[in-house]
Amino acid sequence: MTLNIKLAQFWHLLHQLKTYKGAWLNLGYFDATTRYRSTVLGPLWITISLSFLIGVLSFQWSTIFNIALDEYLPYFAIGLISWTFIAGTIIESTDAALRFKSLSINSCISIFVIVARTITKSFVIYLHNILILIPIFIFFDTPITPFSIVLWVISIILISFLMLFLGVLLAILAATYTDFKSLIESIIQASFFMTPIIWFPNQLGKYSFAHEFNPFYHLITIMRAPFLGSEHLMQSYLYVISMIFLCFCLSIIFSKNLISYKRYL
Amino acid sequence: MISIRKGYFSYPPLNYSGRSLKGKLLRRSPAIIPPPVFSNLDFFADDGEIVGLSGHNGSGKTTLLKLIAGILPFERGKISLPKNSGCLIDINMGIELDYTGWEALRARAYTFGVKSCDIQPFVEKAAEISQLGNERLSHFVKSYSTGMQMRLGFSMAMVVEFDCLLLDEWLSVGDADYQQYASSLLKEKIKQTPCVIIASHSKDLLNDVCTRTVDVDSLQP
Repeated sequence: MTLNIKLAQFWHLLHQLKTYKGAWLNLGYFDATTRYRSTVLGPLWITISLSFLIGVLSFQWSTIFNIALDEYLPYFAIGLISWTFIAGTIIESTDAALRFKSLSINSCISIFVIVARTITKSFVIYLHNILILIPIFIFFDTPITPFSIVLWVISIILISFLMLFLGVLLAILAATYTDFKSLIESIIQASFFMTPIIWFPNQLGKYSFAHEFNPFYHLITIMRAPFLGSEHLMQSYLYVISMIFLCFCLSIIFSKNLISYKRYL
Repeated sequence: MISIRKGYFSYPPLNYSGRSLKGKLLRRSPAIIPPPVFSNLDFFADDGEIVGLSGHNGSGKTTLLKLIAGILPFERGKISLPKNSGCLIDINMGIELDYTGWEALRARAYTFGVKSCDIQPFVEKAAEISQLGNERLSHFVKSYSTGMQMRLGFSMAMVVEFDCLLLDEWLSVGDADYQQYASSLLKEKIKQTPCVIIASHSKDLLNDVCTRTVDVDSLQP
């Protein structure tokens, strides 16, 4: 298959994000809200359970690590909320083709639209969860400037692009190989403890260079740094942009599989 | 217009060994590759035609509809397909049980590619066709009977316009009164659509509705 044909096929599938904008935006929002519709607080129930977890674990871990709570709580809260968004999107994208099997096998809707729908869902839940940060930032005097908001928006856009191109690759692999979803779930579970969310990167001492090889470290850094600062921010941005480019190229190379995965469903 | 020349399509091995990552990496149990569904398919349909597809179970009628719609890809062949096909294989596609009737109509419209700014007239027209009423449409779809759920999917399919309509079996929706109404709507829709392909086991129906009928087995010389 020549590169021209692959590019044309890839562009045709990607362009559906514009044609089906209503589908991935509105149905993603429905997915996030319908499950909790009969409840009094709606998706805020997730926020409440997460804020309880952040509150309890912050006291516990700051005592164990002997770190002041005003330093630990904002660090842990932003890290855990960002992790919930990133890990949730990866797991949901991996399951996307199977979860929306009826849509995949009975319509021309491309896998990009289906994965974008799961990203919208995760983002709506994330927007609820960041409400937890408001009282934390006020109470602990965390500085918020227009520049930090701009950096945060750039980080969100970069992560969404990464999740889109990575998500379609994971979705077609999970649709093709039945054990792939379990493999991804195991990796995500292990990565939570390997990524500096509960602990600080410098606590690894002379092994702290190992973070350079952990993609989740860079993803968490670009979400955390706009508010807490980091000397590695530019390096992490470059790493994430490289990952987007890699996943983008892979999805062009495997553009044929972006349709033919439906044969497995 | 649809033109398929020497079309080739096959399903991958859909048994356990064919879909196992371990099996693929270790190559311990070679998967049994099924024969192709179509190895040399020739099929043509002009605008204005209503083509009926007949054939025994497993002959590939539904697969052919999905190939024409562009849902499944041909692996080889000289293929020219309509750009805007409406494939009505799963009438409830895109509808979740946690939606209200109104939301289900919107969801169905979005899956047909209707834009957010244009959606309201589509939803109102479909609601009218469904004959479910404002109060019923405000309830969750999970409280609907199977027939009522089908009315939602059917009514939106009647509102959206397609260049080519692909039907897997004649849509039979709702109770006796509604079936008569739905049948007349579907006949009207078929008249308005430039090209229609209907797959069915009922020869009487195909002879009654279609301009010509083709046996899927005869499409591969």
